[in-house]
Amino acid sequence: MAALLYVVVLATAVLFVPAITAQKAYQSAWLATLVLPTIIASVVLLAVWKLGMYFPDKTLAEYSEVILGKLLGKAVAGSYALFFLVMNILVVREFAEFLTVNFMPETPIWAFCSLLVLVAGYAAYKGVEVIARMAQFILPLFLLTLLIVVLFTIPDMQLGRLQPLLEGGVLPIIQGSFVPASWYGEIVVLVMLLPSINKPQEVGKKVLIALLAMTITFTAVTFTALAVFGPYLTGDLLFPVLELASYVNIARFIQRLTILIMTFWVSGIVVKSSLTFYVICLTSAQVSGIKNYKYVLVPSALCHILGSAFLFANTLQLMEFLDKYWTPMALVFELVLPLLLWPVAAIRLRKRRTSK
Amino acid sequence: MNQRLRALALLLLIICSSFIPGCWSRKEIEDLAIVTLLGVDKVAGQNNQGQDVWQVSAKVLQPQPATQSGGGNNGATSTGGGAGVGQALLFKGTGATLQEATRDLMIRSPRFIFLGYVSGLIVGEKAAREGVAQIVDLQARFRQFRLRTYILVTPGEAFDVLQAHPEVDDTLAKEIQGLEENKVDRIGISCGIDSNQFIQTLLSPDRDPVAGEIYVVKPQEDPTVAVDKAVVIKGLAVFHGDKLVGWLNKKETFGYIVNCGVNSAMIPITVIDGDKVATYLIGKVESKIEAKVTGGEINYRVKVKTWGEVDEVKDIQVTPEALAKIEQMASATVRSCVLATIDKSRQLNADILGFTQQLHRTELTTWQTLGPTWRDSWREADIEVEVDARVIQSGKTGRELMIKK
Repeated sequence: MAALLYVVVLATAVLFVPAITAQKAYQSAWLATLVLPTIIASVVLLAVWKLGMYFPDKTLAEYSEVILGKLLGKAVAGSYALFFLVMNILVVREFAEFLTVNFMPETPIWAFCSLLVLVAGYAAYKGVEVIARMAQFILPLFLLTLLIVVLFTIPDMQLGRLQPLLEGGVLPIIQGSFVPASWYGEIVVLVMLLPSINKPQEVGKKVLIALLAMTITFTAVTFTALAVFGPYLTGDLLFPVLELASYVNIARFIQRLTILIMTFWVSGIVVKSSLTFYVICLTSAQVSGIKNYKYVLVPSALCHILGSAFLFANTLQLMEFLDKYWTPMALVFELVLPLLLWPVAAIRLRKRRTSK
Repeated sequence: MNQRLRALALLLLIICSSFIPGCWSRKEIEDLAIVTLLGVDKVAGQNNQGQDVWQVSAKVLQPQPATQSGGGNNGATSTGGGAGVGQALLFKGTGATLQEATRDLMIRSPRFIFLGYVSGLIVGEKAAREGVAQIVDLQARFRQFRLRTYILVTPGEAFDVLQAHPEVDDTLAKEIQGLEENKVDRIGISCGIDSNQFIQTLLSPDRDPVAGEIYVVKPQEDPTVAVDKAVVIKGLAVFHGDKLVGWLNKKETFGYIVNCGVNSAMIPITVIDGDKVATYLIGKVESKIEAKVTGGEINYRVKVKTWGEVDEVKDIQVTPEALAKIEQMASATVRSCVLATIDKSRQLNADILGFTQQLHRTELTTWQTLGPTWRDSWREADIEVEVDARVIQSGKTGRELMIKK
């Protein structure tokens, strides 16, 4: 489970987030990915876990009705289904954008979107266990590629590029923190997965470890990008970490690692997209009272392809959406709603207990 | 049965997947014109509008090694004959924009241009003086370029540089890359600046960039070798913002390298004291700029440490006292080089050594008061230079070979 969430968060985070963060926090961007997002994500985790412990055998779509009543509960669960849908549409689009911008500009974007949705849909059809096994397999390869990027660019690092620390005060760092926070907060998918986990009691601890691990990895990657490209270039590049991979040059022998690394990132994105796909289908099926989530697969796949291929006209629109609209929206669903549900659930349960 | 079906499906998948890369973005290597060096110039336009146009020239890798050299199919050995002549093709094109000129240059070639292997981008003086922003922006934006590409400026036309032939390696691109990557700074004549460093400095609010200087020479040593044009990378081009404003000579370039620090170098410094002559061979340089603000006054201090050896002496007994004397005089020489660089950069109004950058990094509040006139305050600031040259070896022999007079 921990491995799954780690891959889910990092697969797309390493592509897009360092640039967005560096645009705001400049040379202190690595602090922006380190402190505040971890705290926010831990709060998310706490709320999600507490909710899960109140209702160990129910998913959010089921217990929100218990907490908030039938109508409001369905509304909340339905909006979660939509939220996950938007999230996955973005993931698919990011994936396609990444490939077309860097490698295959001639290929139409819908081709990549459909291929990814096809694979992810198949994995979602096979269920959550298959996806988790996929993550277990991908994780070491994925980590290895990141490690290669970080280690092999050490000769090109200049720590002076990270100075001065905290230019312009703490405010830019806080502003830069929200985007990584919205990515770390994606662990909110747990609300739909807790009942299918073998030992739910251990989940809190394990996911916390995953959270710390992803913070460390991601901060290391951002740090590397800043130390090699400096704050200004990192902010201007769309994919600084990919650029790092192509910048690697050890003795004119180990170089041009881009494709090797792209392979594992693509597989990471497949895992992420599969899991989100599964969660979307599960949520929407439970909200609308369909017994088997597999019936929802085909319609939601169509939504994915159409949404990801046609909602954005170009890369800059996508980046602007990620930066301006996605972050507040994600934080509402990741942070605000679980934090609201948690006390309501606690009060409800206590009332029920006292009335008995 | 089921298993057989699965195996069949797997086989089918493998067969299918071998066709997948061939949909839209299929690129066969035979269809690519792999560019290894790119030259960018501004030239007078051929049309009567009188406007300057871009001229882009490219060295394109020849797909098959020349067959007449008889080296078989071992591509690397086909340098016989004209010392690698014919290994790379040269094309030139003009246009109102860089990309138009790039299209124009490959107009006769059946292959598509591919810029993923460009190892050097050479900018002509005229284009550089008018500003490199457009070139650099295209380079950072266009997907095929890599940030490892070296940026070089030539006095004159970049096209002339591309007309040169390699002397040592089998392609000119390899030669330039080799020189830039591990040679020029270690012998103290230039600095390999790649586009990552160049663009970074251009983007930063507190420092001006430099780039290597490249020019064409005619090798004179051996008249039997038919290379009439070879390249030399020597000196540095100084930019003010994105515009070329001047060049550093030999002494100033060395001062710049000292300021950057260098490892495993072999840079000779001549020390002359009357009849006595010695060479101080620098092996390693470390340098640090300190920015201090006292009562609103900005002071900079450059601290340089060099480690080197003394192998060549004339009329000097190699004793500890003599070495101390050499250390002292070498320090003075290195110091004068650094001062020359500072003077030149102030003359050109380009803070290439990164004084203001250091101020920005360590004295943040002062930097914030400077605003867009930061170059003025740097020009007026006090700069001290301290050099500590150390002799750590004096070769394999002792005091001196006692040679009879």
